[in-house]
Amino acid sequence: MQNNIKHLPFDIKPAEPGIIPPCPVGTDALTGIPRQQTNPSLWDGDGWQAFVAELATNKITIDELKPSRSLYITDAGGMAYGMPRGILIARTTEMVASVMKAAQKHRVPVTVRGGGLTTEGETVSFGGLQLDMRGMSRVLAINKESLTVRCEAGIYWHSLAESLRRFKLDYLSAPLNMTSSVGGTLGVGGIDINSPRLGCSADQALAIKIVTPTGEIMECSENENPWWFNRVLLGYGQFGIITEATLRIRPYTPLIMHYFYYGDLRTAMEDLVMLCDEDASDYTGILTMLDRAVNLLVAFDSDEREQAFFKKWRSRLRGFGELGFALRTGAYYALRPWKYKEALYLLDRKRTLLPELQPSHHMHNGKIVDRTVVFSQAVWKFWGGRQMVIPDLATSREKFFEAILRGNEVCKKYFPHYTLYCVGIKLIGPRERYEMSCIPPDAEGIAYGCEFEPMLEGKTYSRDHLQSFKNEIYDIGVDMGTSYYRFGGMMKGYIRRVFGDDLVDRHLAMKREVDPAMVLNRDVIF
Amino acid sequence: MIKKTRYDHPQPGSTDPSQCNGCGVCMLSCPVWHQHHTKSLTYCGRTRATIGGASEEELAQAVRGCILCGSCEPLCPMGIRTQQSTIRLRKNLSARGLLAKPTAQSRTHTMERTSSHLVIPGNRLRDNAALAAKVLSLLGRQTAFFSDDAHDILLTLESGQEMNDDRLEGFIAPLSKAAEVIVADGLLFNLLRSLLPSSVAVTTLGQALLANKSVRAGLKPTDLYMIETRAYNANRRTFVACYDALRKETGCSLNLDLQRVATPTGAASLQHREGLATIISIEEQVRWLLEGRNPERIVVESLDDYEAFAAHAGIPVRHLAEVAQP
Repeated sequence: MQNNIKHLPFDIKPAEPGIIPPCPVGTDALTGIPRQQTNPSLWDGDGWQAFVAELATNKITIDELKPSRSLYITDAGGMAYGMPRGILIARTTEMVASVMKAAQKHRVPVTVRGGGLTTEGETVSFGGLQLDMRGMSRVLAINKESLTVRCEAGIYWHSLAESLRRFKLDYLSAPLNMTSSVGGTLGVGGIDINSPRLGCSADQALAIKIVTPTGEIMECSENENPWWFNRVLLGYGQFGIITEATLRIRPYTPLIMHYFYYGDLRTAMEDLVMLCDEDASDYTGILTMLDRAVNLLVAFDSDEREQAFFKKWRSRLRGFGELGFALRTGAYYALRPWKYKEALYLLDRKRTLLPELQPSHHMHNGKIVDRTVVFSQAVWKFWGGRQMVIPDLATSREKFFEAILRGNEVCKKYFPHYTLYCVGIKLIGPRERYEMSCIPPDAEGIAYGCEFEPMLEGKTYSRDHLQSFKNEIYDIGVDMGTSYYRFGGMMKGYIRRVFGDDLVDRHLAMKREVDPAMVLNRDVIF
Repeated sequence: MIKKTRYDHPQPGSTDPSQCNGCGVCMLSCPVWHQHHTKSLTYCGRTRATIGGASEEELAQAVRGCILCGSCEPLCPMGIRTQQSTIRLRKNLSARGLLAKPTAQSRTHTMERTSSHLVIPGNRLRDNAALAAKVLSLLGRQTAFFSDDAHDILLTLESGQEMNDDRLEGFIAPLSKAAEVIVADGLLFNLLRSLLPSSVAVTTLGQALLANKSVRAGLKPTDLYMIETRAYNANRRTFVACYDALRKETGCSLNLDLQRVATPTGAASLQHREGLATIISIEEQVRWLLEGRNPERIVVESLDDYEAFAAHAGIPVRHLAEVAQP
């Protein structure tokens, strides 16, 4: 048969940094929306050798061995793969400054990494240098009087907690994942189940030391270099590298946790919003197993707060305790025997997951001794895998219900089992750093977010299947004008679609001004 | 081809590093990570490099650096037996001459009497006659030191050398008839737990001594109690409740981190005991163990830890047997 299709040769030209080029292999899939390249091309600039040589004169040695570089081929998402040309473990602020000066001069891209817990390839290097900040993991000073800690930014929150707990202190809010780094978290926000009260982790920072894209070292706070402070916090690594941070801390208290179960997602969300609006608990969030099993967790730092909750708010919650929920759910499935597989799945979850959320060796007098250890271990055990797909939506209070219910329907379409993790985020007033970030532009007082996490359960899904799922979730954000926690990397095309050209171009202009060679975390946002 | 011996698969669970999902949780309690913050030197780094195509030779430096404290083992969400997996890698590297091969002769001793409750005390305790006598008296009249200290087996295991099956059989056979075997060394404890029949109760020296009320009565809230790490970390699920109960009963603090993993001094490692090159500073480990805890006294289960604290802590150090109330 005669084939009349003419194949054009691939024409892959290096794109101007900041501009997302069309995909060189894929045709346009959606009417009116050109298909854009998701991962950047491998950087192969000719400045590398001069860059390495210049750093060597400063006694900074870049590791170009393959075994070392191969540790950085992907991030926690396991979907984007790239290989750095060399890696460097940062040890001092001055070292980072030398690297950035040389990188500007030789136009070498530098991709910065802490815990590497991104899922869209934001910390994956496609050529250039991978700068591993975890070499800067010291706790520099703990001040019990002012309740502050100064630490290097590569430190894991868990390691910081290890140090603070020796002095009966704790951080305020940090992601429920032990291998998140302080610097990485401050750069993207950082959400905890106490964020409805305390805000995101970035808002706990009182001061930061940064290295600018051109290699200057600067101390920043709301009063000192405030422009840089607000650009680097929630700046997705575009405007500087955080090397040290001063954070607010608090006296340590174990956690009194209660779980309430719902057979309906919307009801649970309404109760979550009510608890956040009325500041009824110290911690709260939603974790779903199925539509029929929605878990609203409510926790307290003190007995007084717990008692107040039971006195004033418990009766207003429409969720059940474990026994009440088991009876209702049992009755539901007894009348619907054809749904026995769903019932068996829930029983299995109850048997395996629930004990992991209150393991005896992390409990003391019925209280959880360390919430992050407990949740993080459960997350990795039940949701972790070589691939993790977690698209999300960050919304205003008004758009929360519709966005999440729509996202829930998308999950159902793609996967038999999935989990939604919903939490509120208190805003600390108008801040420049909230612009073009995970904080939705229309949120006032409090924002809400939801992660949509399919249980891959060892099954092999095609990359297209997973990407289509993510796109459909992200499309809801475009349609409703929300924002996203995961912000950049493979989904960066959505940033322009959500925020519009004017805003993105304004931020791109700022980026070009402070990073003339566009080398710092290149291709992540712009 | 490397001959397979009985100790190749002593415990259930995967030793296949390709099962690693790269979460990095195992690094959080790793002393090598704590001191160097270099992923390639950790178990997680080794597995990720292997998955990325690194050869075993390229992992040799990291394997040499590991002190087999087992801190990573209870943390792996994939259930990988990290300690065993590292020993296996050492074995492969040792067979190719890429690891040092320390040689050790096992000392045999005359047993003063036969007993169904045997203690394998290790060289340090056996050489300290007064403490050895104290240990035996606290363990009860029916216990006796076993004649074979198995030092060579331990060294073979830890350095990844070829295990002599006949030697291992000769060591195990008399122990198989005992009612209880009490072991001071954690790695040897792990080996014996996997090889001895279930009719033999294998106990750590620390657990055996703590069973004596007078020992527990000697512990104070101002003590830092050093659990022997290798046995504890490989069997955390079993041991954590016992030590939690000890903490509640006596008020002492423990060398457990937030993940309830035992932090080592590193002094029990092959590198330290045999004077090999090491990337772990025992002084730094001691400093980290003491930071913010400010104990008045340190009580150890292992005499290796005793030496480490005596050299660097600057506060009194006692073996567990020494704190017993009369």
